[in-house]
Amino acid sequence: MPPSLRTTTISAALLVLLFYVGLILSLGYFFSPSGLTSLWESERIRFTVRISLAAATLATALALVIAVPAGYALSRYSFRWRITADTILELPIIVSPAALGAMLLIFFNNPLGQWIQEHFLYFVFSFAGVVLAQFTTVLGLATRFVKTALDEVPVEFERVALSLGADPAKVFFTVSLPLARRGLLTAFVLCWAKAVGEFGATFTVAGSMAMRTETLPIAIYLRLATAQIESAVSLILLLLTIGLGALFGVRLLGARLFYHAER
Amino acid sequence: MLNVENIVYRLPNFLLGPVSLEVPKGVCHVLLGPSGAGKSSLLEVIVGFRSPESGRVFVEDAEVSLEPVHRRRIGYLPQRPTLFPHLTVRRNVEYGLKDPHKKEPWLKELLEALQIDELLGRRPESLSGGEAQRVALARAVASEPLVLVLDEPFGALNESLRRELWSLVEQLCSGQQLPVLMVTHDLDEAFALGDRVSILIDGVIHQSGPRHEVFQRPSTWEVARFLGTRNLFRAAAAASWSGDGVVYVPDLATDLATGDTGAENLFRSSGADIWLGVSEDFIQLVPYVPSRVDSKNVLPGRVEAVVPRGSAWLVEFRPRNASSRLLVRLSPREFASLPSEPLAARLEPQHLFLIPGPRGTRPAGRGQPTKVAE
Repeated sequence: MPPSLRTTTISAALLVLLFYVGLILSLGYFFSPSGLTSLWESERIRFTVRISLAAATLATALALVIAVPAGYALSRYSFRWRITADTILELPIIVSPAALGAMLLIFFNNPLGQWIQEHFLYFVFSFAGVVLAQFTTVLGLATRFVKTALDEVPVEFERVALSLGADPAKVFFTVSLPLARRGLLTAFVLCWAKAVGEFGATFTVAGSMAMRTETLPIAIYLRLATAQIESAVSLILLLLTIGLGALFGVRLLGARLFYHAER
Repeated sequence: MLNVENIVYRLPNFLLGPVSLEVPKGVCHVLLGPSGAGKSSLLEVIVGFRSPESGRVFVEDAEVSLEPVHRRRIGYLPQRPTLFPHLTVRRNVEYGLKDPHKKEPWLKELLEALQIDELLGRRPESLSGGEAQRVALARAVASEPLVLVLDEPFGALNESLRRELWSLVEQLCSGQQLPVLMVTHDLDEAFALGDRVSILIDGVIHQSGPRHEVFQRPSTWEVARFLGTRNLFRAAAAASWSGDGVVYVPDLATDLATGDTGAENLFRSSGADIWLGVSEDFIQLVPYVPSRVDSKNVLPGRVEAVVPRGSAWLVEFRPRNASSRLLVRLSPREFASLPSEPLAARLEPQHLFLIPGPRGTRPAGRGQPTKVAE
């Protein structure tokens, strides 16, 4: 008898789990506990962790500030260039992160980019560059996630709210956003995780200056490039712990918040 | 008061209107029509969700056609209760209040009248369908609209809940002196609630008037069919035509007096394509006495079949020499006291109506049987 759909699909899900867990377990071949403890003693690594978390949080927050209204417009309104705007959201997926970084570098070598750097903020090889690179990588994704979250909120709720006398802004903040909150939280978490792990664009725009623009993925790359495998493994485990821990933490927190909000 | 003037709304494959309506205070006006007739689209134009090609909407004599939805003060109740799931019942009801912190005595009375004062602390997902729709109704009224618009709000509820909510809508309409415009495709609901009824078919209002008039005397073939009138027969001017409304009905092989003094005009304006209709409820089956002098509108014949129809009986009666049958609805009591044959069907002239035929049909010639519209 052929295997049932349930058996087949669960097998596929477990295969995914096994694949990634296998990769993580294979790190054990080069893992050294002393390498992990020495990480914490290094001021440079502590800075790397701080800059990674700060840049990712800032980049994701900034991206969502734009993504929420943009996603709402793409979800609710029909306007000129809508389809083009909707399509370009996939740019960070189509174009490799390194290419995105290169595009940013080229922009800052144009007259407008140079003017911005001279009169506003210096991005190339700076912390602002790290944030900008991660922001560029996650903005499209964030907008896509927000749009999907809002697509799932039936328009009927907003229509009823309008008919009750609420103006569109009140409807947006008291009906649309609260009803899309699960999707918005997911958008934040996924974009944040993507930003923490971002390498190509950050490396191209901000470089790899220790105690300045060195994020965790860049630190891992630099260790590997200099054959410090044990140190690279420790950093990978650290990145995994931070990333997965944050994902689990926010999801648990979100579930608890929503549970209390809904009961 | 709600006034709708010559609304025209166009979709790629559908044209609504021009539609005009007037709903005074304290009147429940039911917009009745089959699915796809444009009822909900019309409501959405009135509420402001859709922009019409032309036409105007007035609320309390003020034009609101160009006002955004939230400034029109038209309460809207959609097909589903659409309670905000992230808010309690209390906060749902208070959503449209100008000042939610102000304790309004009328709000307390409203909540008691709609029997939701006990539900205020609950979440929408814990409510039954009837409770949810009562809360949605309270929420719509609590926002102090000048007009209430209901889009088939009770379609998903069972019969007893619907009847309960009908009486609540009636109370709101007459008690609060609200003009209520309600859309439905349910004939019972329209008859129960509609002080006035408009029939919308294919984007056009075919008939509008008090419910008894609309239900008893449909003005077009389409309305008659939609209202379930199955006794529809082609009619021709009788040989004894004298303008007193006597017509010859080929399918029933008889002349019938309709009492319709305007029949002559109807024949003239409709190119002689005229149909006669009579409701199943207004035909009497009586003992047939051949020698009886008063044989006008009395058709001897026989019962061919009897089928149950809900709590009543539907009798299929074929008049003598007729090619078609009359359908007669009898209550259980009427059915139990049905006299034995020979029987005759008696059709009172005031219950017979003459209407123009459907588009695309040919007039009937005298003596030529036509197809029964069953």
